[in-house]
Amino acid sequence: MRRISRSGLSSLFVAFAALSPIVSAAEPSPDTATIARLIDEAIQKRLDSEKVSASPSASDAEFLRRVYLDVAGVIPSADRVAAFLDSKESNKRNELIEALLASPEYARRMTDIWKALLIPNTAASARQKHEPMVQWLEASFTANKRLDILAREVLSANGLQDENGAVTFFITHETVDEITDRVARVFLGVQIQCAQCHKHPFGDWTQAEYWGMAAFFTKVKSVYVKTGDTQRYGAKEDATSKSKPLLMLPASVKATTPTFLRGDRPKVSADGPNLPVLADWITSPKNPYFARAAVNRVWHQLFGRALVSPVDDMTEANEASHPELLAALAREFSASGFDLKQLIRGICHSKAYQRTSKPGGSNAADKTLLSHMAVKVMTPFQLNDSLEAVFALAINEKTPPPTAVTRKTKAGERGRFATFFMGEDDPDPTEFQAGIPQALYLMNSGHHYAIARAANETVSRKKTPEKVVETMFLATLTRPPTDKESTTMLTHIAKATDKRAAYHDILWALVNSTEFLSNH
Amino acid sequence: MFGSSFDTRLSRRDALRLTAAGVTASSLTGWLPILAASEAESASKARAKACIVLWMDGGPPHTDTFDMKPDLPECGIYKPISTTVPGIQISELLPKFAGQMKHAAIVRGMSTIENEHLRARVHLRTGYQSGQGGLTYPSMGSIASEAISVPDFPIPSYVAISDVRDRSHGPGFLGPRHQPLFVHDPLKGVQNLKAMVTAPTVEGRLGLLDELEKGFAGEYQVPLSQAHGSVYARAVQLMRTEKAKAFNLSLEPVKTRAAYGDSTFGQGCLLARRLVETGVKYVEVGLGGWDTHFENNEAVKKLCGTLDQSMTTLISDLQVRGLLDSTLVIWMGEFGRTPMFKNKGRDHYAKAWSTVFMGGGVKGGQVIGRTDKSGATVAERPVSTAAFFATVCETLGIDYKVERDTPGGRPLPRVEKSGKPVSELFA
Repeated sequence: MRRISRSGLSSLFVAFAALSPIVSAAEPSPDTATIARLIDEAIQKRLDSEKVSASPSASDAEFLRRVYLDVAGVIPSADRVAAFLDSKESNKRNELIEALLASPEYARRMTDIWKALLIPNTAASARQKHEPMVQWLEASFTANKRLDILAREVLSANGLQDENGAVTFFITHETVDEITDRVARVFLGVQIQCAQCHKHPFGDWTQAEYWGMAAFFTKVKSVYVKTGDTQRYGAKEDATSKSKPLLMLPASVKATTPTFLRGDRPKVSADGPNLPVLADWITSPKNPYFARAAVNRVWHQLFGRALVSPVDDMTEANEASHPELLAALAREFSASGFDLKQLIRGICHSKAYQRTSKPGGSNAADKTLLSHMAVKVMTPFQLNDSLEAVFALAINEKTPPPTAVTRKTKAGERGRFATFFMGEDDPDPTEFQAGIPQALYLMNSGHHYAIARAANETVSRKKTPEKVVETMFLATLTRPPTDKESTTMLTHIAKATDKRAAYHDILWALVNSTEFLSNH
Repeated sequence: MFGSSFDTRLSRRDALRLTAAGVTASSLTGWLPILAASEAESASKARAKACIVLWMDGGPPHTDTFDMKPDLPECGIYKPISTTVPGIQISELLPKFAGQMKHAAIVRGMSTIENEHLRARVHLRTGYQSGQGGLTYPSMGSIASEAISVPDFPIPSYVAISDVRDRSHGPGFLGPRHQPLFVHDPLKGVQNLKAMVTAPTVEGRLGLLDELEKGFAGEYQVPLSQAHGSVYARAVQLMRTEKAKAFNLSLEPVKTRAAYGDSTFGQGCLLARRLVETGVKYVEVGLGGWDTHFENNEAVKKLCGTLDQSMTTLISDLQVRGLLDSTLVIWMGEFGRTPMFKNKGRDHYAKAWSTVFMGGGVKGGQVIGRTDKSGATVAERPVSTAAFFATVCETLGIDYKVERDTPGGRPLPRVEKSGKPVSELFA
């Protein structure tokens, strides 16, 4: 599947098949159309009332790159770009969305996002194994597990890490307040941490509400089993055991009984578990926060800016850019059985998602009305995987196939790369986070050799300098070069005494460009 | 060829323009108008031009180092020794440093509130408590980069020499421009600084890149283009500048390198001196391994051996070069350790511990504050985290009272309001 001839529609399907075994190409189902319609009506209404014009639809190239990065977390290969751009199939965008949602890369992308949400980026957390959670999340997203069920399984996870990866959630947290803050931010979309010490200045959470939520987490105990030389860790709610709680209580703790945010006090027995009760409340279709928080989170992933921003600070004082739309999407999401894929599919089908990110008319200053798509910066994982996709130009029939060992090495490198490029937690998706060491790495690291190999193989495969340059642009920027760019690059080659090196220069410039780092 | 669009820094006008575009809102809003007047006033009062922090990661025990309790054997097995300043004693584990006491002021009344490493690192690197108000706070180094860096200087103003990259080092809401340049191994210097190709080839590549950048910036008009351009320009500047040879320790005489000690920490201290000499404003050098819950005595003895040689050499070398007066050197950890033992170890202890201030106009040869007879509480002149930060800021000519708008829109003083500088240091 490495080499795909470029011959129109048939290769488009081959290209999709390479990504996914399942290709279900169909007209949008009624529900998908409903979601897309809700979005476009609400957005158009605001644009009209603010007298801001919408930018036109994205080009096929823009759309292809965007939906690949947003849904699968990686840019498409040169062959896939060529096939998609050549295709005259009227339904090709919808088919692409389906293929990407069914791909293993979708599960990997969602896992990257949710692992960062559920596991703290702390040194204490780094001492624990994260792999069981990664595998558990990948399996969950591959199966398109309902989000309410996923949340419930995380919140009430019991057992050993290697039997239930979800308990990693508990053993990577250190304190009750840390986990309370995270649960509120991730599953309820609200920040209540200020209320730990005083009444929240913006939201109206009280200290009593804060410690009422925190009280749910006080019965979690650690589980440790040693068999021979193998040590296994886990967590379990156990009120009867005298052992020290897994999650430490801060000195400022205000002891109270478990209480839901906004004051309802559930029945929990002193010696029974708390967390299934909390999970029931959080994931209930009646919970006023859960579906809204999830919709806002997915919107943030796809549009680079949440309907309520910051994405996890959905207080009453912090109004949504499109409040009715948020409410309607939350209803749809809940009614769909908290189906994440369906929500993503619906958004991807909307005109708003498929608009160009080039500003036009009067809309250049607009950041909230969705008149044009935001330009996002690749996440560290997207950057790593996209560079790998470019370096894959070097793969030929002599390249040995991956083995278990090389896969493991790659996974380790991927993690280290992401750690090196990681900025702050939960960064603004449109903000450039890399610093000087990262720029130096992209310019001068051992990537040099990968770039050279990819360029050399492209040169040996393509007949003319024009074709080589075009392939390099397709593989990096998901578009052919403009006439001006083509001239610049071909002149560079013509003037060079060392032609091979000239091609290296071009590929180097492409992967170091802002456009390569961006999802536009 | 690579001059125009890769300007070397954001000018103030650029910054304003970017702010207007909503770009660096998190880093610049609300700052600029205030900066002009009040910052200039503080800057004119600067005692030091640069700061070197010797960070004892894990938390060093005060009762084995700078606050000895010889009357209570249960507080430690090590004996105090006299220093070159009459009446001041420190640990026998620091015999070389005892000779430099005239340059050092020991603050024995540090009293802080975080007893856990991660939270305490945030607290003692940023002056605020982790997670307080839902913000990510800038570290002292990032604050220095923001407040006192020299425009156009080709090396980042804040360098962290540490094998651990902790997020408490970061720029928080000041934004990526003020992040530290991390050096993991002082012997290797800055990684990837040298291009894999010849200088003319680099020029050619940057020319191609420039062409691509113009196209994208024109079509999409996003601040991302400027941010990328700024970081790349600074990276290229660092690749090109002669000053980057400050990172190359092999340029030092063998004798000097040996005097600093062959540990990573010792060579890090030497690198810190070279960086300060060349104009860098804030350097942190880490010495890890102080989390001595087990076998405290052996670990502390070994660490003090490393510390004693390197810190002593650093102070005397700075002095010989005429840099000590203009360079504030601070010895600190994220907290101290329990004065009493649990088995053979000491646990975390924030309630009472020591820091040492040297150079930068600090009046040496004095002890400020006092702990009780067992070193468990501060008996005299407690110094809070906020007071500590106010002191560092004031010494560097940074207005610690200035308020700026945070990303959430709330004004926040650079140092928590309760903080007042420890004026005795300069008496």
